[in-house]
Amino acid sequence: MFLVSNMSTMKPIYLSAVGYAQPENLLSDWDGMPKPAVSFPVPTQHTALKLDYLRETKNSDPFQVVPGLAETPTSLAERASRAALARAGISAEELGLIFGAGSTPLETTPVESQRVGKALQVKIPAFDVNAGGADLALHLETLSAWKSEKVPQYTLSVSSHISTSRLPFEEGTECCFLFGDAAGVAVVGKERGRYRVDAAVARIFPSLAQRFTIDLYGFLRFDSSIEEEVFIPQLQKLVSDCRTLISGDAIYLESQLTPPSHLKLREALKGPSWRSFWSETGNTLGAAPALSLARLEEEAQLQGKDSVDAEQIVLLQCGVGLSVGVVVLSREE
Amino acid sequence: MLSILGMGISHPEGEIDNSFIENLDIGTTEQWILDKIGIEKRRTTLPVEYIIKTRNADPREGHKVASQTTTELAVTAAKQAIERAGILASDVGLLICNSCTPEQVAPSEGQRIAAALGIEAKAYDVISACPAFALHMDYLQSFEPDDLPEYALCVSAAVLTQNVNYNDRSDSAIWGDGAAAWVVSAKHPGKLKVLDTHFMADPTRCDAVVVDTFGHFHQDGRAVRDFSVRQTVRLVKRLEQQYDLDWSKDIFIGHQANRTMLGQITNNRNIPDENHWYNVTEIGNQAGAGAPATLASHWDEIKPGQKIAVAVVGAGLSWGSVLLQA
Repeated sequence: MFLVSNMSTMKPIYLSAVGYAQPENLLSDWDGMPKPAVSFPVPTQHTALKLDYLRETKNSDPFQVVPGLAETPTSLAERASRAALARAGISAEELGLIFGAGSTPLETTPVESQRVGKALQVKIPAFDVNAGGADLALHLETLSAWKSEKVPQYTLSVSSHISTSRLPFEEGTECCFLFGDAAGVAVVGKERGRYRVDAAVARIFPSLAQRFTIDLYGFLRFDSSIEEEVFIPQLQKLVSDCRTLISGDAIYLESQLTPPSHLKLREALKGPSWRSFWSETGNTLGAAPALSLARLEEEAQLQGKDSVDAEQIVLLQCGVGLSVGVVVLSREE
Repeated sequence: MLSILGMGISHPEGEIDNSFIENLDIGTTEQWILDKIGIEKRRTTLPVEYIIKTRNADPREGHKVASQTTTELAVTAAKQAIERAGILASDVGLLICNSCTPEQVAPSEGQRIAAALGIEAKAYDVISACPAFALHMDYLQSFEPDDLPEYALCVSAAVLTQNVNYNDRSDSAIWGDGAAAWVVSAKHPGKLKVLDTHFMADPTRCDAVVVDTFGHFHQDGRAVRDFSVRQTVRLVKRLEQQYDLDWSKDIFIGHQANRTMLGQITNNRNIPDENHWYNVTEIGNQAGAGAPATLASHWDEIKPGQKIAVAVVGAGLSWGSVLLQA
């Protein structure tokens, strides 16, 4: 789990399916949205906030946000979970474990995994394993490092965030134009699935954690220089460590970095085929990898294809923690 | 096999006794509290003058005026655990934390604690509130030993008095603040061997215990009490059936929710008072920190060969047990 060299011996686990959910409301439909403070095109930002609430308050006090929400992290997580379960072709009763994660909880207790478990009406171990940005990589890494008898047939990995509820719109700072709300969910299979997990590695840098924060009662604060100083070099290093496991025609999926940083990462890693859904979602924090993979699959379906156009997919993640992660998937079916 | 190499605790100095709560004039008395939940006093990070003046109507204010944060309490406990384990903070290869009262919602509490300790290793939260001790031990026990680092640091910390509405007579009497930490290794033997771990949950009942991020703690007291007693008895029975527990020398530690409830459990299992360790009477209910803090406070009294059964229940609803042997 802790050394990349262990990846060659990691126990097989599978990604059976992914699902996602986004709120219907868009920040662009709010006539009071501040003028962009970024030099690149603002992404489509789905928001859990009611537009009326935004008009009245500009979200000036996140402590008062609950009545202003049209969606919650849990309502998004439930929808994403049901979508993932449907794609996996299994029922909630077949789940044996829920790992949850979220950085904008409306309740600190019960935790997100337990609220999802209630929504799905399952009586199984459910607890949060919360890394920040690299939730999916950490969840998969953990399951692959567990003793076989401890891994259930199916585990639900949930990451749900409504970061727009923590954006300082009155200040109109850069971070107001970078984030969107979403839940991303993966069904992890012990014995079979649509993708085999060839590698899953999460790295965390606690000493840098205060450069990307959400105060308990306050706003999200994001020091964008961490993209270049931390995320790009660390993702580059992780991919380099995994290089022997990645084939030349793999698709790299990364949807958390801003467009300039995404381009720099692509240049740094050279060559491979890339896809980002950032312009359509904004940075959805830990929900991004499952959401991006699900959207990639939807695109393939729209083109009449059974699966994505690659034997391998590399999911790149970065965010709060500070954390970075890489997941290498090989198509099985 | 996992071992616990060292444990640490931390509690704030502020204290609320039952007469203080009676004097809040919220419809309760010292005697009622003692009879009903058996708690004599509790530790708090809140200044008592603040409680008298505001009843903590707005938890944001409590957060501001508190003497210590969750992170600060946790770091103190972690330092003691690390020292008792005879290692350095830099030896820690994994830090997992449980807290229902985080200092920030992002980064995770574990990442803040790691940063404060100078630990640049994997750090994240593994959370289910009250049964944290069982959750963390079962979580680590699930790993292949080779996939764990030399030393893992587990932390559970809560400052729930900052989330109490001091106009509510039940909640006012229950909660205390505290932190516990313990160093675990699969590669190095320690004072306590881990013989058994178990963790389970029933999320369908998770609304029975709630800590609102933007508000106060609230729970369905009766349902939680009944569940807690019944489930703890089941957990202890399971350990009794699978292991050779001898309550004339072995130790029981339950979830530090209230003394009366713990008494019902020990009466049911015929566990004598001298082999029942608890701190709830002096500290209050510290959520997931209560049981490990109790064990940590008896660290130097543990006798060779002694078994220690820890059975914990609570929010989630979730429950679990750990059987240790010195």
